[in-house]
Amino acid sequence: MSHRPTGARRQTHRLVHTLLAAACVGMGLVIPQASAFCGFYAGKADASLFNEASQVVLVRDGERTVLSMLNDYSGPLNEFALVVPTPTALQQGQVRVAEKATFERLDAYSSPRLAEYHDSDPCRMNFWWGQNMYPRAVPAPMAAAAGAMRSEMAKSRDAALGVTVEAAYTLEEYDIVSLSAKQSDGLEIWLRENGYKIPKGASAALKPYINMGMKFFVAKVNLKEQKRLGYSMLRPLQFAFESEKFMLPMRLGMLNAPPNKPQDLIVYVLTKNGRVESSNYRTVKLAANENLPPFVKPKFKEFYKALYDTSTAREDYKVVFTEYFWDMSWCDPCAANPLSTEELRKAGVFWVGGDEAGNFQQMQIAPGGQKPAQGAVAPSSPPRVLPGRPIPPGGGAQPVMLTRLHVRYTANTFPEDLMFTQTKDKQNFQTRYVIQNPYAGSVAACTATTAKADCEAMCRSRVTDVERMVSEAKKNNWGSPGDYANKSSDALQTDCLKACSESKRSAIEAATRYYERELPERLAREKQTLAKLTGWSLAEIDRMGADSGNVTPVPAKGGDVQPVPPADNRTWWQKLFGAAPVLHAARG
Amino acid sequence: MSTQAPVAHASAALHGSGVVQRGRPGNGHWHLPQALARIDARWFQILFLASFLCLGALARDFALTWQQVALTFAAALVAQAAWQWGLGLPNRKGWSGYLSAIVSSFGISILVRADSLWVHPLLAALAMSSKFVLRAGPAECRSHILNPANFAAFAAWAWIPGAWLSPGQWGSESLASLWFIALGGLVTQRIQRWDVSLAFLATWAALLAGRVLWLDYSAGVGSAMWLQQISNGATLLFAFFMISDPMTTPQRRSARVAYAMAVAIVAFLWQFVLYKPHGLIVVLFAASALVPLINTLWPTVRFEWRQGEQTPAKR
Repeated sequence: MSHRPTGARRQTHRLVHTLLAAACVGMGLVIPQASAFCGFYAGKADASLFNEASQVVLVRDGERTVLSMLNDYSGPLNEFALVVPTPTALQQGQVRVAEKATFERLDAYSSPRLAEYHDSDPCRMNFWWGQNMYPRAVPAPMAAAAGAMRSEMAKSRDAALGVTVEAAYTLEEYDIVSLSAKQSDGLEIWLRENGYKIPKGASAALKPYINMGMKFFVAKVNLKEQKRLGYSMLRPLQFAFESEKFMLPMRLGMLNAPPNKPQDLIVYVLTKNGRVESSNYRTVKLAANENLPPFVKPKFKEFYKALYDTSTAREDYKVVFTEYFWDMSWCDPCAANPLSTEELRKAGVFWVGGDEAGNFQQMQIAPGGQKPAQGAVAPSSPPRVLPGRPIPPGGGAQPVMLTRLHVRYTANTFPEDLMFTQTKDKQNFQTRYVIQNPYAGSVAACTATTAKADCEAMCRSRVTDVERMVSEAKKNNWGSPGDYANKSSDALQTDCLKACSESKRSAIEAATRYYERELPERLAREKQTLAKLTGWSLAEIDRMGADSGNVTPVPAKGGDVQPVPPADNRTWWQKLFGAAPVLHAARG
Repeated sequence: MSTQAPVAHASAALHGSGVVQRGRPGNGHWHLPQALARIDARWFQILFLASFLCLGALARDFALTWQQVALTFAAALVAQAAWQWGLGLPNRKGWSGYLSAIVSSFGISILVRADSLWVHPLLAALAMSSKFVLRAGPAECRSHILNPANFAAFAAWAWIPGAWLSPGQWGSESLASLWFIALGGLVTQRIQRWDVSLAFLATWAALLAGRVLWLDYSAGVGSAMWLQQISNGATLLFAFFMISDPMTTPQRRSARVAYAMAVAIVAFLWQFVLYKPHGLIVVLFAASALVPLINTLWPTVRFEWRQGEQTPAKR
């Protein structure tokens, strides 16, 4: 999880970035000049890999929108401030403190995954002689072998400045004001006079949002409250509002970023009808479902990072990548279990658990159920998560679609805020990669195994069986026993021995084909794919393969094995009323 | 001209080409070398649209399968034939109508996305049928009302489950834009509808520039944003291959320039004031209904498709 394939270069990177400051939250503007704001760690090739990434959860149906933002600010807390343009002035009640766990769950559920399969033993004696005469004589295990199929996964002075304080309150560890402004210079002065440190150029960047009629949500940390509550890290903020704008005001976050420095933004969009894509930038699916050499397994994170680096660079940081789109009720293979109804409600999905209008309304009512007076201080209750509305049975029936979008952008390549559109596309997509482990064997081993098979003895017993079946067939009128009829025991024995040695020969042939041709060809193909996807050279890849030592393949138990999500063995009432299941990430 | 049975125009097409205007000599003809003029300009359209489709499918990751494309073409051609023969049109044996069907098929393939195989052929059949069913206008320029590709795109967004539009799919690459402008310019000039494309693009560009100026972006950001919006492939495609359709735009030049500007203004309001999706497609669809009225109020003899100026119109 916390494995970060970065090193000294990235540390320098981070320092530079820290000095250059500002919000990398795709969304808003984090004010202190010293902001190591970027860097989100969540759990696979998860978002932690992209430590300059901001994460946003956007829940939308119609004009109802719930937006959560996770920042990983690690500078001095008294200098932290966040400015987010919002379509309406957010009142107390429309803002709550969310849980970081929600982001981690969404990340874990939707992160790129590696699926692992094992080859079965190519050295198989298909020795069927005497075994397929009549239905009851058919040995059951043989028929089962054929069926192994892989499923295809998948918110006086003020007036002079033109600034109106629409709301001011304390929420948990945050001191929050919602502002509307008439001029950007007025807003900038107001923020400075009120103790917020504003980066240069803020006024120019704020201006278009003011002209668009947008309001501003400004938050800073209340150190006293935070100490009292006992939190050391900043928790995500969540906003519920109605707006016709389906967008992320990501431009503000680029304020102090150098024009060509790429930043990462991961957006989890939760909708009811279909996949979400950008309406003003190209949205592209990352290369997925590719077979990779087995030795990539321990280096999967490096692989995915290289793939993403290569893909974004190839597109000149001008596109939005889709990493995942799936109906939230299942997954295949599961990188982590789908979110429970409870978890979805925490993420802001107001339509699960019935009465969506009511649920959404609840999200906009301040604690105590009244519109808050300005400057009112919220009672310091535990984090206000979604109101504890009972969830009726079957409440999860409304679909929840998760689109995971990953954008690497620079101020130059994304001149406009990101606009979205919801399509009616319901085709699942995941960044899934496959490794197929070779069977641990050899031609020699196969030869030895087959040599051990005693045809004489096997045939003796089969001939006996055949003769018994033939006589029973006659007695019960089962019809002609075909080739086995009217033959002497010796003739039958000869036939059987011939079939037996033939099956030995074909087993060795199959093993030879597998080990000497198919496997090397497959590995070469997989290496080519790896080179193409990551931009790594074939020489590097060969070295990697050699370093890994020839991966010790694990003998499979019959046919391809696909990763299976941990079974949830609870009854429906346990699922409804009981504790959440223990989540295991089915790695690999 | 006006002696033709109204339905006889049905086989004529959607986006234009090979059009010769009769009656109003004031309209400047585009003088092409004779040989070039003899080629039905829909061939140019087909060539350009085919190259855009290839560019999109190969270089722009269009979420489109070859089966969807094949079914679109098959359904459009079959629907065209069925109507031509079913109505016993005098020109039923001609191939002119099929050219239009092909042009429409390209348009539908480029614009519509679906997660199944039935959407594309259904839309193609409906779009071609709309040309024969939805007809209006004064006798001298009675014509189908909707541009088939526009109709299909609107239907995909508004009515059909599992179908959608991807306005961002082209990205905004200046190189591709230039190509569009160059090729689009050739086609529209060839069909004498460059006035519509130009009026639309100029209005659209001015509105976007006005928005950027009004919102008061810094010069650098504002200009980058404007360029990104104006060079959107979907917008250029719309300007040159959809709103420029001579059959479904007002016949009199002053009226259609005003029409193009009005479409640009309303689409801008739809998209940038109301924040609703797919402004161009939606507004053109709605505006099309007004064209017969405009043609009645400002009558002109309609355009007629033909395959080059040298031969009489193939009826």
